[in-house]
Amino acid sequence: MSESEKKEKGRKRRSALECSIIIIFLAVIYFVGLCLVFLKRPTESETEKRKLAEKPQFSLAGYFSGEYAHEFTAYFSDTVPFREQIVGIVSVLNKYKGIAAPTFYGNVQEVNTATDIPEPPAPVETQAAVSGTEAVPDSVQTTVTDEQAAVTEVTEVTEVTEEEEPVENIAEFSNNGIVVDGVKMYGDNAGVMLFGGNNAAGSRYADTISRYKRTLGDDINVYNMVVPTSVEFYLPRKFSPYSTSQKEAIDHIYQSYSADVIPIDAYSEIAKHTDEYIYLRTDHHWSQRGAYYAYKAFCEKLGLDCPDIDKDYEVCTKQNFVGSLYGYTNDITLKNSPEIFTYYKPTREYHTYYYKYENLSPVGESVLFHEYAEGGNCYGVFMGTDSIHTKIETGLDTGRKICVFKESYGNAFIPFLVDNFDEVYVIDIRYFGANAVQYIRDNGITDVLFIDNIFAANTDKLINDIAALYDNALGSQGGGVVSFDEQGNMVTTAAGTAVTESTGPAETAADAAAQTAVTAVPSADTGG
Amino acid sequence: MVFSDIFFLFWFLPLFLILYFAAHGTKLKNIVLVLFSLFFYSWGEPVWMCLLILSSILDFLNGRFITKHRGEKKAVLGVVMSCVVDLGILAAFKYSGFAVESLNALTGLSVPVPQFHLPIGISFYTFQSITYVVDVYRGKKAQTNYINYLLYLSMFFQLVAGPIVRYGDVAREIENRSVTTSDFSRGLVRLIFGLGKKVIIANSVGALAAQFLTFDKVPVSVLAAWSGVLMYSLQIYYDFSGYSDMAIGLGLMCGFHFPENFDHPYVSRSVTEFWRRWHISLGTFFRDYVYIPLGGNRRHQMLNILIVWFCTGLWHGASLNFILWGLYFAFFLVLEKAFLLGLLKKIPRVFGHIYLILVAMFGWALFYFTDLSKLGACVGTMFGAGGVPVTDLLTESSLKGSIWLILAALILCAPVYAQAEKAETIASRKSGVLFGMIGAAKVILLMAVFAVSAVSLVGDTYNPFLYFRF
Repeated sequence: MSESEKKEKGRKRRSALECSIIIIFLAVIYFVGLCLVFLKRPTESETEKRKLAEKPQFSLAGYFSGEYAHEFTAYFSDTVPFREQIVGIVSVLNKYKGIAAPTFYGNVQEVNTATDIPEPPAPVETQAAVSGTEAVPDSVQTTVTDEQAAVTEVTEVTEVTEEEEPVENIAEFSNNGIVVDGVKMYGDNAGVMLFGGNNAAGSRYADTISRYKRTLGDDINVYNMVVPTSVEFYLPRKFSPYSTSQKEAIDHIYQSYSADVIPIDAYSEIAKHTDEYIYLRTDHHWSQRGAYYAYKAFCEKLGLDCPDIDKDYEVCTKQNFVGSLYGYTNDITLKNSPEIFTYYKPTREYHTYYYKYENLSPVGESVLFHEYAEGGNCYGVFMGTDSIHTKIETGLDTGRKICVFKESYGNAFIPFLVDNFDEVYVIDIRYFGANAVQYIRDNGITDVLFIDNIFAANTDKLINDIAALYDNALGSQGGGVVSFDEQGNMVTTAAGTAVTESTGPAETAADAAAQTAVTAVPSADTGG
Repeated sequence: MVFSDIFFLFWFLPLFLILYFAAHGTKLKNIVLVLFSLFFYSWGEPVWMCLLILSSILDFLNGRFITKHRGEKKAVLGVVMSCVVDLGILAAFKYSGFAVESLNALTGLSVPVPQFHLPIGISFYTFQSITYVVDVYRGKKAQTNYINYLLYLSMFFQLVAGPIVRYGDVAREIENRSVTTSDFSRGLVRLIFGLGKKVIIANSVGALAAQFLTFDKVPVSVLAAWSGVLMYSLQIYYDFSGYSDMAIGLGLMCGFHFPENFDHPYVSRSVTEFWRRWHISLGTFFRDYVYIPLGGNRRHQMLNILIVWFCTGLWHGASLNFILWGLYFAFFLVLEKAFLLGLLKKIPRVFGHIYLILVAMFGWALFYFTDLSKLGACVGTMFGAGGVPVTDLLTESSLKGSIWLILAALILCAPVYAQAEKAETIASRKSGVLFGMIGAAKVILLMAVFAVSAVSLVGDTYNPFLYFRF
């Protein structure tokens, strides 16, 4: 074959390859393009626990402001069919970017050095070695390092928070990202949310609760329980520069009251049981067993009878729970380490009523344990969701009625109270719109408990919420005056803003709660 | 709209290709291209489309004016008017805030600082307009069809982030072009690899850079500072050259042959060479439209160099650090002209590489920090000032977690792909079987890069193009 023949042959071969590339590529983009037209788009993400972007309504004004385009683009890529599976693929792919390494997610910063204290006068020192932990450090395993997902995660978290209220200063958040690799709890893989600490916020938190005590006076007991999270007990020692002591942060709060608030030392009781399954491994919440030990400390302080967790409750389980930490990180290790979600149902008879937060209109009676919750939403078993107001009647005659102000950590704690109080009122501080002090007085409450995890108690937004409930109370034009009628239904004399909505039967309420449970994202920054 | 977007890749592009190739003749094709380009640009920024169109009408008329008065003194008027208006608009949107702030800082006045939102791509299309009027003044035939001129300015491939295509380079193809299978296929390959450079590499190293170099904090260790600057150097290269690849690739698919914009800049052995390989369209623009008209190396060369690099810096952003960044390179270029280039030729090549990489890296650090005290702190940390630790767990773990990707990014800074293409050509002449295997591998690689990029884009909110700022 002559040189020119060879060249000609080569040209033909290359041309064949060029044609195949064109055909294959065009086939792919047209096929995928059509799939994007015809396949059903998801509306929510279970792993990320959030509603996906919605399709915007077209309007000329929206188009010319550019808003329509932005929203449409966000909708388009956020709701790609099979999104969950694709995100799963990405987390597998990320594994191959590097060699097995400890994994940090989010904007992690060193917090335990003298120069790096995040908020002004935080007396943080090198963290004392955590004693009695189950942490098995340094075990080699394959994990994903996924900065991209981490950034995505942080952005999403911010978005969620922004929906509720604009975030003033992200640096003030006590959340310091998430660490997964090398973290072991109860012999299995786990993730923990690193704690950045913010004692300035802690002081405000203590002060805000003190205001309630001062206003409510001597007749009503005000308790405060600040709950440590899993990072305090299960963080491998090598990561200690990245998480500051929760014990110190809690003590700081307990020493900062300006009124006679009674602190409940849940910490010490919880710390005695770190070899038991007291925190969820793949979620930022505690388990109900952990909540039980906090309840035990509560009973001891109040002189109440405390049933035995292993004898006096009906034990139920749910399989294959993979919680919020996977949603935030997409870390494959967590996905492959599902846990058994255990909950404990009181055996006594009680009645649970639900009310809307907006106008406190009754939704109806339903169950306390929403056992249809499953998969990533298992924690929704407790109370169903945060965004609905709850009252439990126990039929006891102790003369005590308790009102609990909580974020989502409180949910696992509530069921235990049915053994000690005539009535239990549950108010999520993030959603309640009425005047809290008025509400407490109107309902003849004898005991008030503020229960928050330490992230929440060090987060300005949550503290603002608690303060807002109080400030509502000072003016009659707040969220309306609330009382109960003879049937135990809450009656609202709303000040103008009440929206009358038809109240469905209990089942519908439960369905609605389930819906919200899927979409109500526990915001990572508060751990709530 | 951006290229690295599911909406662009799977709806805009397929629809565009159907209509573009269904359109018969260049005239109709041009209309399709203009319509899609305007839609592309107006997607999210519809107001600025009016600015683009106004500016294009003015320059189009000026082109006619210059042609009409060719040879007369009046012709200069057209050039001056276009330059004044175009640069005036650019200055108003991009530099007025900076100018007023500087004025306030210098004089102690408190003139209200104008807050303009920078129209996307304005820095690029302003320069393209200038090349048009100047090229016409220098003798190129002016465009007689407004649609064709609008096409030149608004082509969606290069409208938002370059390369800066000169009128002279594409004048012929605007009116008459054809697409060959080979061009289309080569364009596709560029598009896919460009997408991969952006989505797979630039986004990942960019996230690392952002982690190591936070704007509000000093890097925690020596390793973090060096890694941060290195990751940023990689990010800015892959981000920008990836975008240029996509633009050039899309151009090829439509029959346009744009000049190259990047030629493996990090393999250079001197700053002089680096700037011949980095953002070539900008460098040659300043050379041909500023430096040479000013007198080039014939008169007051030093002053010319200073002006050009001051402008180059300023073009990148309205901030002191960008100006310093430009002058920083001017300093090394002058040094090299004086003696360094000669010296570098005498010593082993590796020293040239090390020298250039270090100069480039510190340059990018200067580019990154708009706050100069932060820059000082970062550079201090790089050299262990203040007793910072040598390394820290967070940085180590992040580097380990992306080590293969980082290595790939470093290796691909060298002309690996060009070598592979050569091998492909040789193989195609030698053996059908061998070429078949190479071809299959290429197809698989292309599809893998495309699939990984597309999958990564789904739900990925971290996807900013760096050069959109400029």
